[in-house]
Amino acid sequence: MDMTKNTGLSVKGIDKSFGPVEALKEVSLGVREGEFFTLLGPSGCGKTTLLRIIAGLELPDSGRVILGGQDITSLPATKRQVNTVFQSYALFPHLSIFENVAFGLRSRKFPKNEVKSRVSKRLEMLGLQGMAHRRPDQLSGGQQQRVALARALVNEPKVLLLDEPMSALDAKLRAQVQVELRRLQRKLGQTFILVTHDQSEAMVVSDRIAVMNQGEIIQFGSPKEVYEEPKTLFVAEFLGAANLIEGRKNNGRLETDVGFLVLQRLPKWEEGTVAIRPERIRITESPPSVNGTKARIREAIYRGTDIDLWLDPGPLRVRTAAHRGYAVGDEVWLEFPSAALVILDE
Amino acid sequence: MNKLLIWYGELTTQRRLTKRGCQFLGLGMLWILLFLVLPGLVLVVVSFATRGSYGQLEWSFTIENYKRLLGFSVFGWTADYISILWRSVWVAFVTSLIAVILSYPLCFFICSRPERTRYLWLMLVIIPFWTNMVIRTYAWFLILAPEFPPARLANLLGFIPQNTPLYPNAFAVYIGMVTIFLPFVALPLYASVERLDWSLVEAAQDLYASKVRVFMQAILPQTMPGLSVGVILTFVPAMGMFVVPDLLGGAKYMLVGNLIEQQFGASRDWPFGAAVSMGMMVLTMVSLYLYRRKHKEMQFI
Repeated sequence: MDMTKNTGLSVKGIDKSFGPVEALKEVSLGVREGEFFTLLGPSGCGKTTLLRIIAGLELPDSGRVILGGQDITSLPATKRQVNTVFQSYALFPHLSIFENVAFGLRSRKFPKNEVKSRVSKRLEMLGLQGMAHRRPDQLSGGQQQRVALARALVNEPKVLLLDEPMSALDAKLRAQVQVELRRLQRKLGQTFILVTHDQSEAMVVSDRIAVMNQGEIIQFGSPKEVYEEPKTLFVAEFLGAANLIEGRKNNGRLETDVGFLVLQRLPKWEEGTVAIRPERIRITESPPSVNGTKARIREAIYRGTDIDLWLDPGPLRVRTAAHRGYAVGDEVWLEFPSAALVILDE
Repeated sequence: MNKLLIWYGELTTQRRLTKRGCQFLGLGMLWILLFLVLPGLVLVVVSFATRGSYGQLEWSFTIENYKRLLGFSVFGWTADYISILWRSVWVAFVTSLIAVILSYPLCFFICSRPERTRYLWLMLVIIPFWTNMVIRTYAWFLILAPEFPPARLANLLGFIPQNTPLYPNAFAVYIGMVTIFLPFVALPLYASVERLDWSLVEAAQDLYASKVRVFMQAILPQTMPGLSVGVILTFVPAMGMFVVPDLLGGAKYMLVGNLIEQQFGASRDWPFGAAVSMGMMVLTMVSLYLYRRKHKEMQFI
């Protein structure tokens, strides 16, 4: 964690409770300048509360928020160089698109021509030219979302906060917007912090991800790191599918239901769990030399490019190319490559 | 011809629907016709009649009543009646304004209470609303009496001589009027405040808005439906109010309601009373029209 660099944003030891519910427990994190950072977690994990504390819409019980080397913990939202894209977009329904985008500049009393040029520039950047005089309810969901984005970006915030901005879009549009959002962030070089419960969304857009659960950050890392090297069972299961194999140490190997497994390093625990992604299990015709087991296909789910197989013993889940044509009842050999087996913390 | 159709899930015909519609609407229409439209027309007719020497109606057409209302009399022009009309509009306006200013904090306070106690607070607003208006107005006699703190304080500050009550005067009229009309504003406004989308308030704060700007842009537009109902419910009856100014305003503080009451009562001048009523009605319509128009073109800055 990089918390000393004073150009980015850092959050130190944040606690927050709502009555008896502890929403955040001693949360600390550092976001580098120009980074696309994602807070990922299931609903109720405290990610939105953390975002609201950064935005100044919520006060932490303890801890500090530091932006560009300056302690902004007690600075109200109206004075923070931080802007938010709200989940509901929160566009002002009585104002035109132009006035919505101009809102922050007008609040800060920018001269008229400056407002006009800045707003027009943002509208154009987000493909909203020609809609300046419409009202929010005359726009589609995707357009409204871009207005919300323009409205925040026009203020050139030090950090842009995005609170589940894509949850209201349909799947196809969402995938497209994710890519656009990433391109936009690259182009602007601004710091973005996204809150989402959608792991694939987090993978697409982020430079780094913080996986949260029950008010705590469980793991930091690049999308590749958190996906391929999950530290805990929660992370392994939350980010895509994972086979969890329980075992105990035995003679430098792991004794499990699928036979003895050789790992790249020995786990610290005596008894515990290792995880392997479904696409990392290899199917072979002949028995592999190590880390192999015989299995029978119980169920095959065709998914277009891939096929998902559920096998006994287990059930183990394997994803492989669909054209290889496996059928229910087939007996195959499975290989668990050592490099793909991830040791989970207790 | 008599085609079958499905109307809100019911299989029926056009003719049957028309018949049923007439049955439902008929009674109400009759009521309005008998007790609103006809008396209204009578009022128009009477306003052009002449008062006989004993207060009886004489059916000779004249516009004398309207001329009198506008201030023209045998002794030349006076602004008496026009100023009464104007004062009524002004009192109604100020009453509405004060009620609105008081209602906002009140509604936000009630909405911020936990669900259980919220209805208790609402009841406290509603109970006086159920109490007879005359009783509520008389209650102010007691509160504003010379022995009580408000009058003593006013005396101490040199506004009134010792041992005098705080009525009758304009101040007492405003107090009485606001007391009566506060629930009319507070209740519809409460309904709007309760449904307030707070994310707009947060968005405004996030976008550097000052407190005034947050109110004007995020709260006012959202509460406009409740507010405008409340203002109409206050402004229109407040213009015709005569009990409160009569009791708390004294003879010198006459509003159009008192004037009308006087013409139909003590003065026995029905034609002039009718003319004043027509004047007030026109004024109400104009006010409402202006209010609606202002409403539509209101630019929130």
